[in-house]
Amino acid sequence: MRTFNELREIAARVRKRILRMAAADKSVHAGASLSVTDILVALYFGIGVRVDGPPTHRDWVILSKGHAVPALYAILAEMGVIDERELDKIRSIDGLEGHPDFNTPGIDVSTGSLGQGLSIGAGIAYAMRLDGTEGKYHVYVILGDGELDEGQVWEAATTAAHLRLRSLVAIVDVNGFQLDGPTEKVKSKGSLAARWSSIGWHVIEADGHSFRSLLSALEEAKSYPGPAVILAYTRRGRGLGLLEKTGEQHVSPEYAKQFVE
Amino acid sequence: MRDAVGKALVELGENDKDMVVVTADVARSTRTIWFAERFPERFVNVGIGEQDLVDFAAGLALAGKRPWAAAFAMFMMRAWEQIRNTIDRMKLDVKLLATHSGFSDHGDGASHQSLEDIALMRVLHNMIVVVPADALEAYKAVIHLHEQVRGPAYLRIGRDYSPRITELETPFILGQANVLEDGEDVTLIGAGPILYHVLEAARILRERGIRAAVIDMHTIKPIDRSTVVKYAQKTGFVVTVEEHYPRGGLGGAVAEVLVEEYPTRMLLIGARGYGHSARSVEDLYRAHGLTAESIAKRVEEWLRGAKR
Repeated sequence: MRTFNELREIAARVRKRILRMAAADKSVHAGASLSVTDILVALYFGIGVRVDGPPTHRDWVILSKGHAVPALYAILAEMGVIDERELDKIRSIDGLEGHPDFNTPGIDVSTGSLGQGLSIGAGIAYAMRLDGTEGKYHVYVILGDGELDEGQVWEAATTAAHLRLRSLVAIVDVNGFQLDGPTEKVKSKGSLAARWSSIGWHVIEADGHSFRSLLSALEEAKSYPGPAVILAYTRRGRGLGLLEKTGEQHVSPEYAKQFVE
Repeated sequence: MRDAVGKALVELGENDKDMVVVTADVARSTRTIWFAERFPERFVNVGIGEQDLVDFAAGLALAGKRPWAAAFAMFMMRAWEQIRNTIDRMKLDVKLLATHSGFSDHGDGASHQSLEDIALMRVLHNMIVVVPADALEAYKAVIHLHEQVRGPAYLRIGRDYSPRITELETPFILGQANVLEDGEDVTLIGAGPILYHVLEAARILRERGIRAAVIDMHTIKPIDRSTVVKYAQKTGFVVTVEEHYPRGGLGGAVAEVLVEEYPTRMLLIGARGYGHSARSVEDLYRAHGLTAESIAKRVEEWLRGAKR
């Protein structure tokens, strides 16, 4: 069981790696990766997901907001699953894919096209029910708040609620931004909490940059006897002053280089 | 056709405990309800959400199950991108059962009559595409696909209209066309129930001294290249007939083979435009020049013109 301080140290290293990748290629989604960092650190090093084993006898992590994959690569490098030097080749023809590819060690599901992860997760959760491991293992699907514009997310959410899939945990990285700008400017989301709870999900609100808050939320989500969603409030670009201020997604490689030794 | 498939699924379900059937609110129409009644825990209805249907099935496959996802062909196309980016890209073992294809859903009209799905599915890199000729062949195709294929496949069937074309002993071998009739003057290649009328057209042509070979190309992808080339070489003229636009479907698949290996004069026969409501499938065939008389007449005129 790691302390919050240890988790914060890991998160700092993860952020450093994200900036290293941003320095390697300007199209890396630094903003989104930085906002989801603490959520992923809480999952992998906080509660500790068990990602080895037969398909229905293990946890799954589906990064439905696939463009934030640099954060996942950084976590996998921290775990030694992928080599640190791979990070410098992100988005190159012979290097790491720009969005999750399940052929990469440590990546469970290929994503990149928004809105699909929750349906996939529901299918896996249902398979756990068939194999009698429901509730023992969980499928964590990480979505972006902009991604909630996609209708398919709600198709999946109602399926999960109808089936009362207790192994399914959705985590929304609510960073308030999407491609064309602040989420409220592009398309009002209404009350996210009310949307999810009205269709039958257990809603947990968490501070997406507090490990105490995230771990407590994850424990609550895991033990809830039905599908649970964690609305994690975050800041796009968290950890990099410039991005936190502007809310931009990308940062120039020249700028990012300063923060990488 | 749907009854035969419904039965095949139940029989497979008896022997394969990992088989799961999923549908988007069309359990009754697709006859997957029979599987549901027999194996309630291994059946899921996701309601009216084809994109969810397809990705839920993908999740099942990732988790080691052997899913069949059933929906009307037209509305399964709403999930083309999900099929492409999740099922095909990860090469998942999901069997897509697309029913009510072509003009088979005569009553519901143009909105429901899928004339584009063969093109949309065959372009996908890893997808297998099968269009069985009749109920008997559909039954065999379901069994074969489930037992022999561990990857993505699209099975396009009609609804009820399925006049007998094949025999009980006709083998179903994926990627191997069935030559229903031999001939030397022209090759007629078809897929699906329309083959019944293609056979009838061949009979009419024979009365007029034109001996047509008739081929049941049930596997559009991977297409039986050698049979296509063999008959092109033998007859010199190839006609394709399908309940689909004459663009990108069976006709396109055959043309792609011939243009590379043995360029041959071709006539692509298919739907003339969007469908319409009708009291019978035959009414729609008549409206789109897909009756035996219409096909025979067109082929005869074409041959006459081509040979000048």
